[in-house]
Amino acid sequence: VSGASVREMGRALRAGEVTAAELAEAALARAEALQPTIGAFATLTPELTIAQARAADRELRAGRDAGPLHGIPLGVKDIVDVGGVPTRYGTARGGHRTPAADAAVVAAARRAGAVVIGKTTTHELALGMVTPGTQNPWDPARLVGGSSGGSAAAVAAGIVAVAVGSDTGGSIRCPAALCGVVGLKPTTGSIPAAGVASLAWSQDAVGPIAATAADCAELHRVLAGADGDGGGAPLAPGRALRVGVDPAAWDACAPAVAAAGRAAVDGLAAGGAEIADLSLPDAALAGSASIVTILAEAAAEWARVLDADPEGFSPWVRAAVRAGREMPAATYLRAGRVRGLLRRRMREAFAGVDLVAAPAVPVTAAPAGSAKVELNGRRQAVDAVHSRFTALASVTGQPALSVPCGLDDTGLPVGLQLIGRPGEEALLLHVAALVEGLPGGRAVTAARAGLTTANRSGG
Amino acid sequence: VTEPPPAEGRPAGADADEARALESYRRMLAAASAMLDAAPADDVPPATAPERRW
Repeated sequence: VSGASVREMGRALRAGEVTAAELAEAALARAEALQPTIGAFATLTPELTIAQARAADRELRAGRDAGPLHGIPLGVKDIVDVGGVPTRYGTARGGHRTPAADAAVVAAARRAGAVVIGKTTTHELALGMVTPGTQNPWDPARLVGGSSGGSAAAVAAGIVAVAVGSDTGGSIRCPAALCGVVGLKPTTGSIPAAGVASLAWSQDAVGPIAATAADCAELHRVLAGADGDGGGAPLAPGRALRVGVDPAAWDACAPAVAAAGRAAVDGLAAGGAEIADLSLPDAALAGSASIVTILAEAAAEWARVLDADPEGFSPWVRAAVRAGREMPAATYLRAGRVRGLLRRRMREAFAGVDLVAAPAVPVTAAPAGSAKVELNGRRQAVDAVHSRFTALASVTGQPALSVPCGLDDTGLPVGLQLIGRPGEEALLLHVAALVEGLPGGRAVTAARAGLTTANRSGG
Repeated sequence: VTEPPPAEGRPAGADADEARALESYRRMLAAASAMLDAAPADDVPPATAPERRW
């Protein structure tokens, strides 16, 4: 069952070929087997998992089918509460607590029949783009990206088909890109945030990470259920898709990333899409607004918790919160004004297009432990490189996803970012499925299948 | 330069790591602040809550 899609598992469940308990046991066994090499989970919950799975089996036998996620194993990022399971936020000890209740998104997923198998690793407080301690299933000597690194790695390794992540400046899209899976940051505010730790409230978004666009859409529909409509509808039939592209963005990427991204755009054009050149706002300005916002809001959110137990957090988090506390209020307000400006410019850029195609991350996965990565002849901080093209949609609040679009010359996956109008997640997921079907996307799917069979020792 | 002894329960070097990280964040924020200040003084209000739909 490793690497099976939600639809494939669901068909086998309903045909009586497998039970939810067997799917859960296989996922737990594979997660445990891959902990030493991949380390995607902070906590596995075997007792809770098997109890949920048996309940899902009983429901199905009684004729009560909760829908496509019924009986499907699910990973949940460890900043999102699962009732009765410790939430550890990726810290050594700071802030740990055991919530009584599920986060709203977890409750929604469980109502839809999903079976939580554990808490996936996160960069500490979701503040960072690396996820130390978790390795990339494509090459365990490579970075997995962050901060939802455990969720992306668990999907790429075929432990689960779907997982919950969160994205404040790129934390779903970055690890999805580096791990060759699909990750959607929904429109800010469109998914209920109750029971999810906040990093920066005005940019936070909970969202799905999945092996395929179709599976991503299934989980997104469930997560959005309480508050939303699942993100609008794809284009009206018969109208050509209009895709905006900023040609200069590819020049700021590693050559293999640019080549894969351009090939995907060419593939969409060959399939009938109209491609329009446009000029996106300066990525560095968006990045500046994002880091100011994140540090100020993270300090407001976490300062009291850190004051109560400073040793429970790493020196890097203590420094980040201190930097946020000492920031002048005017700087934070200026960032808010620039965000308004960027939103206006994006609205203008979208006047003639349905979505924008852009790089997700300008490099493929760098060697593990890299603090800096080489890009266009310059050594640059890894967090800044990983968030270069993701910060824009975070500061404007637009939905954006990363979908695999090709492999570099060492066989590592490349992600294409699709950015939409607020509320138009369904269109992004529809186009992501088209990108999956192009030669570059198919190459990633085929190579990922090899990953899940090569490591099948865990079931 | 002699570093002060680590606080109780704090791993050796943690204070130095924090000081280095703080300086790094300060430099990053100074650069970000300068970039924000140089952005056009537009008539847009500060973002308060994201729009759900256009």
